[in-house]
Amino acid sequence: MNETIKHILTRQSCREFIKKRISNKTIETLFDCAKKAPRSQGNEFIEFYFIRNKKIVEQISWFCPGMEEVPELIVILGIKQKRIDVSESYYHYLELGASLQNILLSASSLGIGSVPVGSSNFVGIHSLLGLSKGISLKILISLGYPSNNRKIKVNLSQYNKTRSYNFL
Amino acid sequence: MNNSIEEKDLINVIIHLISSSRLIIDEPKEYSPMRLFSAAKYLCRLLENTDDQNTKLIVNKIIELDPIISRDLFNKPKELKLCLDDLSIFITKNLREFDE
Repeated sequence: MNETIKHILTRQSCREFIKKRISNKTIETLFDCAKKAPRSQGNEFIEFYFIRNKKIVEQISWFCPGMEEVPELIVILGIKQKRIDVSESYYHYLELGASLQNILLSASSLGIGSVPVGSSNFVGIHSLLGLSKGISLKILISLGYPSNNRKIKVNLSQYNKTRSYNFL
Repeated sequence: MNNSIEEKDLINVIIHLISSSRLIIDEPKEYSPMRLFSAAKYLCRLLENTDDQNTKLIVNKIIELDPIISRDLFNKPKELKLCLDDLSIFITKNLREFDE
């Protein structure tokens, strides 16, 4: 099977990680992939935060009730609020989603497990990191080399239910 | 009582509870027991090195149950009720022995 398709079809959320550092080179690759997501009009309104400092990662984890284990790396995607306040377009959310997916899939292809953590107190994290008021944090991703302690059985029937399309 | 518990450890659990409280407003209500139980687990981790055998039993039981509560029993209210009832009985039994 084509490698890209393989990662799209087999990637699943990973919440348990081993203590293994993610290298600078790998982080740069993840960032390059995130940036390569399709953008409209060349607008640079997405901000990326890569956090590997153990102390900060651990502190952030307390603001994320949905995070089960302290990961090796946290990536947070935010939006420059001023840019989007003047527009009613929803494209920035589509673009943010494409960047998010690029990070998840590129991480998977590098053997890194990941999970977007929806249950994150972004107001608290924003304040903790001392970010400017113009930045609105939108999604946080936990990343790390996966622990094999837990084997997850993926129930594909749920995907089959939503697999409908019109072939015209 | 474990004397090595630091204020910052308790503050972290408070942050977890406040964050949970804020997020539950927008999240499915099924998340609520899981979040509260996680907070109990974090407090138990602070007591893991206790010398008291009864406390140790309670603490270990809660830590052991956490993955079951958050994964296996998530969105299974009947089973979750039974599990939490059993846990309550387990805790009180150990508390009684503690009092004796």
